[in-house]
Amino acid sequence: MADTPQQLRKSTDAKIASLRTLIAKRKRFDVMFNVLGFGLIVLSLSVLGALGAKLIYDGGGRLLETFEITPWGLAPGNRDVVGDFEKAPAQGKLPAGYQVTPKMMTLKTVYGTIDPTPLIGQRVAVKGDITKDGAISVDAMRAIPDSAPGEEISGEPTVIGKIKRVRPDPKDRNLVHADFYPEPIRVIMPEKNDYAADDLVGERVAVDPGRRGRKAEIGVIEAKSVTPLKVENFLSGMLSTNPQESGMFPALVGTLLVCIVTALLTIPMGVAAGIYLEEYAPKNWFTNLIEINIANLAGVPSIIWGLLGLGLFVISMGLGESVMTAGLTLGLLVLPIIIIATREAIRAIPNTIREASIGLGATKWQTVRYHVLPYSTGGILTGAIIAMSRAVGETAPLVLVGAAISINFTPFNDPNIATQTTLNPLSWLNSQFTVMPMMTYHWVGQPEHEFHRLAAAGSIVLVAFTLAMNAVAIYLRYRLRRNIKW
Amino acid sequence: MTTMNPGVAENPAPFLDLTRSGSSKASRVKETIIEGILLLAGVSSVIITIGIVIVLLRETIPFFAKQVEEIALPAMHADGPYTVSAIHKKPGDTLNKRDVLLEITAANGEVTKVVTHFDGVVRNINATVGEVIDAAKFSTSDQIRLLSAAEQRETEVQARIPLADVTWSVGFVDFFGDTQWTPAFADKRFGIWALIAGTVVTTLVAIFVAVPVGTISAIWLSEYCNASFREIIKPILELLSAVPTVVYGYFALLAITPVLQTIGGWFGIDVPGFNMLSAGLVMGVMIIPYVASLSEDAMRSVPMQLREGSYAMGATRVQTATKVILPAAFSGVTAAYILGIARAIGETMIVAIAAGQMPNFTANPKEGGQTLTAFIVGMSKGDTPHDSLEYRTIFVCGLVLLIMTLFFNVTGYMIRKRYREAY
Repeated sequence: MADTPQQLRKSTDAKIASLRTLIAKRKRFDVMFNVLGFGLIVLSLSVLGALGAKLIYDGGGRLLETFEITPWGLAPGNRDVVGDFEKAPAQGKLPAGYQVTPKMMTLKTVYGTIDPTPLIGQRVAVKGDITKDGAISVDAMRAIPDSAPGEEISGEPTVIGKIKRVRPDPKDRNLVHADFYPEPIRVIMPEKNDYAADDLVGERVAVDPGRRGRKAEIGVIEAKSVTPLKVENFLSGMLSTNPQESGMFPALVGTLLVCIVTALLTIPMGVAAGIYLEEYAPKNWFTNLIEINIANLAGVPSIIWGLLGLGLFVISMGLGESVMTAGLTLGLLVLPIIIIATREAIRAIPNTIREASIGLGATKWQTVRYHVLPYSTGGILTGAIIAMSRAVGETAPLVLVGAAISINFTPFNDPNIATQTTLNPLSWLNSQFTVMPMMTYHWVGQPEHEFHRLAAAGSIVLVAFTLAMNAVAIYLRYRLRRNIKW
Repeated sequence: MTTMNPGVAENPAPFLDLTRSGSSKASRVKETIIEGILLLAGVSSVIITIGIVIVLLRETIPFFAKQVEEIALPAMHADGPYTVSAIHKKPGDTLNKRDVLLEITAANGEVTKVVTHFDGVVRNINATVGEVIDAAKFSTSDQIRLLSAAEQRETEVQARIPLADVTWSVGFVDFFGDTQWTPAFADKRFGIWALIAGTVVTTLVAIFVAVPVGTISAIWLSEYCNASFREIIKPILELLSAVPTVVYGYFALLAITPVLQTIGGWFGIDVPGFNMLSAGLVMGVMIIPYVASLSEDAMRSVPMQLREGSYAMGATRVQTATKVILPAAFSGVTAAYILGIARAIGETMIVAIAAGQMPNFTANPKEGGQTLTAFIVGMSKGDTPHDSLEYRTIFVCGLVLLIMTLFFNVTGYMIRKRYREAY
């Protein structure tokens, strides 16, 4: 029985509708996949963002923080009074001399024993232990008249100043903190001091009050030594076992030197190998072997290169744990990268250029020297930069060849080879060294949070180095692709 | 012009004078020398490979060779001479680990027991100390002088007087048949599986992250994304693998692990501070670009006709990608996975920092563990003497690692080479 037009139409509509839902479903699935793919890429990149955020959150402050250290690389000791050193006029019975003015200090007292609150705004003399962070753990405290110092008491140092504000300790409710603004403290210079008092005027100094229990006047320090302080930050400071005053200058210099050795060694060799394989090598089993071999070397884990450096350079060749060893090891590590980049750059040059050059009577080397190499420079440079950024970030091989973790010198003033330095301008090659990733690794492994801040600051520097190098390489590659049209 | 064509510049004569062969001979020599130098640079890679193998084997062979250890007499506080005897052992017996081996009796009857931990064969045990010193190769007059107990008490020197040689060796059975790896402990065990387990677990976690994300990203980049956007996004994605691994290690230990601990806390799971999961996850992120980039290259080299054919049949982009492109690029994508695996196996710093330093024969990524690479780094960080057995272990682990990565690398290379020839 034939369908009526209405029935036919109805069934067609139904078919169309079901087809529409099918198409819509397919389309939806397609869009979903599009969103998924893009989402996953964004997710992967957000890891990079999270990494950066974590590093800056943990170490950004540490990177900018400054700290004061003595000329021999130590922080001011416990009980040292840190402040600006000035000349002081004669005052009362004290003759003209010198004085030191500390910045605002925090008085720490135990709640209920010594209460600083009634003394707010008055001139007070405070006796107690000065801790490393510039706070005074108060032993005794009393208001004194506004006259010049002169009263004799036992136990020093005694600091005179004004209390501005009292607040509870944020962590320990039994402690009370007070903001204390000290007056200049008269310093009686020791008989023997490494630095002349007049040279120190205007500088930040650490005044060592010597042993306790000596008689002294209020507001006067009979100093045992007065030492100038220099302000360092993370990049300029020397390494220290105390995380508060550690920088990474030796590691920064070490990284740069190792990279220079690596680059000088590996770029000529890698480019030569690349030229040989692309321009000279006959197509035979041996060339094939070299090719497979290079592809494999590029995949050899970095730690194996460390073992090679340890076995070959440190032990067999006796180069020791030096900048030279590190440079050679990293040089071998990045060699395959440079060879592969060179080959790719050379391969992109069309054969017509070579044929034209040979056709004009140039020899093979002349063709390479005057045509192939200049045209592939950009590509080779890109590969070299990528390789160097890899070398900057490598840690494992340098742990094996003996990057140090606690050296307080750059390879240029290694005390172990100091005598040679004047004679041999390359003596730094034999020096002990450390590098940025090594120090970062060392700091991550320490339990204290302050070390983790250091590690984060080191990581920021490291990431900045590698990303900057990669950005340059990406830009170069982008420029090359746009400009060169064969 | 001259700089452009130096070949011409060297021969300014209008006609090429073939009879003046002197300069061309010189240039031929120069050409040969240059070619020789370039050949040398090319061959260098082979030399390097041979160097790696030699260095690793040089330390691995003595590792499996017979070890001779001396059992030392501890500092004694009684008068000599001493009588040394083995407990329940006679010369020629095989010793077991952690065996009470020696009983040393002083003249006043004071008995000291010497515990040793060696596998091996007892030689020259029942002897007085004086006799043993004569037999020992390192006996010097100083050491003999230390025999006087009174002197010893005065100086409190822990004299190391060789008593007996014990020979033992790490057999392949110990190496491949044990699941404990404790070369630095008194009770030395050399079961490599403990380290291989760590390597495999972290690699698997990394692969679980990198393969799905990398593949889908590759499909999106190759099939969905327009060319100009791809040019921007691909280098940025590749930055993920440019970040130094020690920084990733920091991130895994101090950012991912706390997050995992928090999440674990919701479900009542206790996640330790060092765990293979966080190391593996971060390692996975690191190798995403390897997988994505190589897979994308493979997918884009699939000829356009296949895509067009698929679209003409009414397939959507998802269908084209999963049913046509992915199978066509299968070998390239597989190669990408394999190279990613090789990369994960060889990764050192992330696992050394975040996964801990305790060898652990387990398949549970929640636990801490040690990989081959982390062991090498951890061991070489200390001051191990250069001819000790502990020192050799790092080269042995290096060899095992090299073999593992080489297997994956060669496989990946072969697969890639084959697919390159397909289109």
